Amino acid sequence: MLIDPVTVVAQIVNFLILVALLKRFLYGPIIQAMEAREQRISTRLQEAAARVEDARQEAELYRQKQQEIDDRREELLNLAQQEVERERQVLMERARSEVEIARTQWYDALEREKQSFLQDLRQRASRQIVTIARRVLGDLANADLEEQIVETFIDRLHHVDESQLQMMHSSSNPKCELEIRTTFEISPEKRSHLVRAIGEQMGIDVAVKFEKISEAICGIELCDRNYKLSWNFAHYLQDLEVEMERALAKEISDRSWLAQRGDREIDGD
Amino acid sequence: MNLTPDRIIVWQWGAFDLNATLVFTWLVMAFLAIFSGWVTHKLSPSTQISRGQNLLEVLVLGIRNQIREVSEQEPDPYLPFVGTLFIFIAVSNILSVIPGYQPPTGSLSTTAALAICVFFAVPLYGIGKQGLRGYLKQYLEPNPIMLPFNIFGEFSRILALAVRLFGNVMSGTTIAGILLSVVPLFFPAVMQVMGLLTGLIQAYIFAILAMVYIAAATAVEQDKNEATGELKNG
Repeated sequence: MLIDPVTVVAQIVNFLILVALLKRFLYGPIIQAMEAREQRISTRLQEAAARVEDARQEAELYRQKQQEIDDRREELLNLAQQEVERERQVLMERARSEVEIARTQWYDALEREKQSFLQDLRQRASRQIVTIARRVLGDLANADLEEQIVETFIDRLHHVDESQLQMMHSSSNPKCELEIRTTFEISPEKRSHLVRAIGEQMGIDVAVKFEKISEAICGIELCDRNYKLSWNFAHYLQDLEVEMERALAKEISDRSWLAQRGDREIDGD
Repeated sequence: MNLTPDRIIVWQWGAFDLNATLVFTWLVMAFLAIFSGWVTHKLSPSTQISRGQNLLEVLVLGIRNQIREVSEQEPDPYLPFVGTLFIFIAVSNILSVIPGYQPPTGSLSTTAALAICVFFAVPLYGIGKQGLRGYLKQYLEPNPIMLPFNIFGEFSRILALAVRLFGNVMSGTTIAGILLSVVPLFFPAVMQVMGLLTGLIQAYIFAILAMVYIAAATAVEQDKNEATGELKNG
């Protein structure tokens, strides 16, 4: 018989004891240890997840702060740029107006200088011409300049046309007083010569008053209320004066071009 | 030649014979209890664990997973019984590499005892799970006519369990003995290695079949509960 009943019963008991022993020493402790480990790992995973979430929130917070800082910086930069642009415009306007004022002042000064220069030139040139003419006349014709001027004036009186004569008559005062202005002294002979020549030309007796003036260029002139007959060096100086004015105008034009280019460079900056 | 270690009498006291089956069973039990107690008295819940703890955890975890897969239920109620079946049979078979050792599972008395334990465990688990009426109702399924066949099936499968294990272990030991006398070198060692594999497979088969029987006894009510739950939810 392969089966021993006593052994079978004993083995059943043995097996049940073994079940109890293993349950006590194996399954219970091992399962508890595994569950404790799982719990621990789970706790640590939860902690890690919580920390990851905290870190994510922290990172999000810092990202938002960074964005706010960037926005603020951009805003301040824009404001600063606008302020700078506004300031630049103000400074440019101020500089432009100052340049305009300086240019106006410079033009005025230049004009005054020009007028002063021309006046000075006119006087110097006239004096020099008078001196030269006197010397030339003396050297070549042994003649006196002032006497020649008077003679030339008398000759001109003789050659006035009818219309000028009418004007002389109409403008003369009832007392028939005329005035002769010269820049030099006229000898008595020449004076009487002059008076006679005027009387002959006008056909009436006239009273002539002689006066010496200093402001005019060398010459002689017959004056009434509305009429004036004259001879002086100013007529000869007119061409010279026109030529000098043209040269000055060219110089001023060149300087103006340079000034305008300077203005453009300032605007470009 | 002894076909079963029951015949090997180690100690005799009056009418009581202490055979090798019982002696080696106690040795296996002592080994398992002492080894388990030695490992588990210094268990660590941390991730740094000893090799022994690692081995036992792998073993327990594997058994639990197998029970869960087979029964589709929580494994803890069945773990002590099914796990002890597997561990006892496996260790009994593995220790057969030790010269002079007689595996207790090579005794039909042992396998019969284990099969009887399964025979009683199945209704106990079934009744515990779904009550006496629910369990007994299974024998009338699918038709009351099937009652004698179901009862006969209960006995026959228990008998098959016992004989299968006994036959495999005993045959392994017997073949090793025969080959030792015919081809004394090398080949018996290969057969011993084969015997280790066979022993483990038999332990696995015995435990899995026991679990299948228990699961069959406890799963019907669960299916019913699931169906009722679905209807309620629906």
